Amino acid sequence: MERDPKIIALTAAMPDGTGIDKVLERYPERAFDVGIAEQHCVTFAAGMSTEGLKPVCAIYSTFLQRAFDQLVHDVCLQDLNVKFCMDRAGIVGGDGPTHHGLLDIAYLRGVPNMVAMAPKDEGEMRDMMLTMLEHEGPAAMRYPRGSGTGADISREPQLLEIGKAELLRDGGEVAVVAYGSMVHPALAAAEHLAKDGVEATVVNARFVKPLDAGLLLALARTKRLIVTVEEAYLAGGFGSAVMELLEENGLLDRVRVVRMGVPDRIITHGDPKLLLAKYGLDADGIYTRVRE
Amino acid sequence: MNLLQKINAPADLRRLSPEDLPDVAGEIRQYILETMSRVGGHTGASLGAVELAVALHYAFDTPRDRLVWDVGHQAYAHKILTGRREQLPTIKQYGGLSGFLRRDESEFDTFGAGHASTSLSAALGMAIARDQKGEDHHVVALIGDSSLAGGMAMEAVNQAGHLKTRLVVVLNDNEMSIAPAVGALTGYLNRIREAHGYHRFKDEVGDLLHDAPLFGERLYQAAKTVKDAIAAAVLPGALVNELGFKYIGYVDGHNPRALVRALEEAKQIKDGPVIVHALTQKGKGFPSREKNYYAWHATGPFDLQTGAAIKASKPAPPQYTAVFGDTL
Repeated sequence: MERDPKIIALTAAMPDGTGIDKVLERYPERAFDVGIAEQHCVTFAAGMSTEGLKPVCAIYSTFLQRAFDQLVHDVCLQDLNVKFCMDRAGIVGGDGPTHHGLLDIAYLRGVPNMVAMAPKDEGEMRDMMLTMLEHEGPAAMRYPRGSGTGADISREPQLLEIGKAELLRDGGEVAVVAYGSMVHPALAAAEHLAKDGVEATVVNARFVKPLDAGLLLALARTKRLIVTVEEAYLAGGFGSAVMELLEENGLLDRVRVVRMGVPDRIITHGDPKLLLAKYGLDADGIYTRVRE
Repeated sequence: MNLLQKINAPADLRRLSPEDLPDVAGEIRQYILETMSRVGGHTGASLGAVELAVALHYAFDTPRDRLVWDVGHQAYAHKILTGRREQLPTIKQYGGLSGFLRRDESEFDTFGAGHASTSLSAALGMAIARDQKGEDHHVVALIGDSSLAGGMAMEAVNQAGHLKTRLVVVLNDNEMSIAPAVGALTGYLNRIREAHGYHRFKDEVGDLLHDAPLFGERLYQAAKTVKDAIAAAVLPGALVNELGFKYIGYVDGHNPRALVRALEEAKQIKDGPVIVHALTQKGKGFPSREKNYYAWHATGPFDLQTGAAIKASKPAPPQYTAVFGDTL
């Protein structure tokens, strides 16, 4: 916000929960707490963007559900320059079913003009913030509740190429393509597999929309198995997007695809580690699934 | 926990005399504080709604009368009073009580909640269903001032005033969401507070008269009429009145007997929706309440004497939220 006076920060009654409290303190004229009013927040942002401002809506994944039509009708249909930063994406823990952020991939990726991304750690989150703000048009980023991975946050944020994945590890007949919070567990699983003598390629997908079609289609042509991993509902999620891409390119029978994510049921409250493990969404779970 | 031990359902509470209610509330508050200091939870919101929960279950015949809580994280006292006292220490943990409301957890949880501003729409639906089925129970929604400012709640207010069905709305006015409440409606509610400050003594006179023998009730009614006239004259915009709501208030939201009286009054209103305006303090009874409202909205374990958080011993990398805020 220091670099670009056009950036505006918005929260819907969650200044502390979203980190906007610091911005409200430092830039009281450029930050707004609109109250418990997510729908208004999004259309309020859309109005600002028509006048050339760059509003950033910091809204939890579960609460952005409440403003879906505003996101479609007021932002994406008009291709307006509004950014969505979705904290608490994934399993949130003790707050349970009403607060898990498991639907955002599905509800965002069907909307034209939207760019949707998820960082592998807090360092890459900074890169994505810069990337979103430099991009002209609607963009959304999801990131989980709680601590980062300890990544370097002192370096200058880097501009990322929209729709470009990151190849983290190359080799073998298996490719694990992970989205956001599942990238580090996928890497750990690959290391475990390597100890067993099984090489695996690991991809940090970065974007679910647009997908890195070039890389994914190349994997489909060269690997025996693609495992997609995401901390979200499988229906309409990242793995679904990958399968759609393969289907559109006639590659579904070339390669076996296994999707890992959250199944079609209500997820209870509890320790996130325990819940993620229950659905195989950790290094052990990914390792076991690939071995199978 | 002399009284609380014997309350396994609201029917047990209703067998007590009104004089016992402050003690029940005190025991509940202490139990919430002690439990939350060990396991953590939505401490602040629930501490603010202890007397409301007691009064609502005392004045209304739950679960026959339907009680709908907005958001649900302020409902720990409700959980304690509805047969879940012993399970409170398991709240928000895997296999334990939900931190919010769930229809599959208790018949007293009439409507699942977690997000804000849904209670009035759900309660209005229940009220219309009651009318269509020819039943006569009460439907009561409890909503905070910040949730009332949510769009959906405003949409429900609009239709409730139009439908004119019987509906009791209890406004839990603590001037807070998780953060201090914002917006014009907050300003409006503040003006109501100020207007009432002007003739607050009349409430107290009213209370005294009400408790006096013989002529008490009639004098109380007379004082009420004066009070209503002043309220109607002073309330700016008269949002609720103009939208077809009757208004009862304000009431000290930490005085269970005053709350029960206001709710009994609300039960008499047959021809449309009524708002009972209760003033509460979020985090009531939390040690060092004034210091940091975020600290006691949802807490981890804390020191019962000082309210200070008991930190995990292992240092963790910074949270995504903090990195986001700093980077922005």
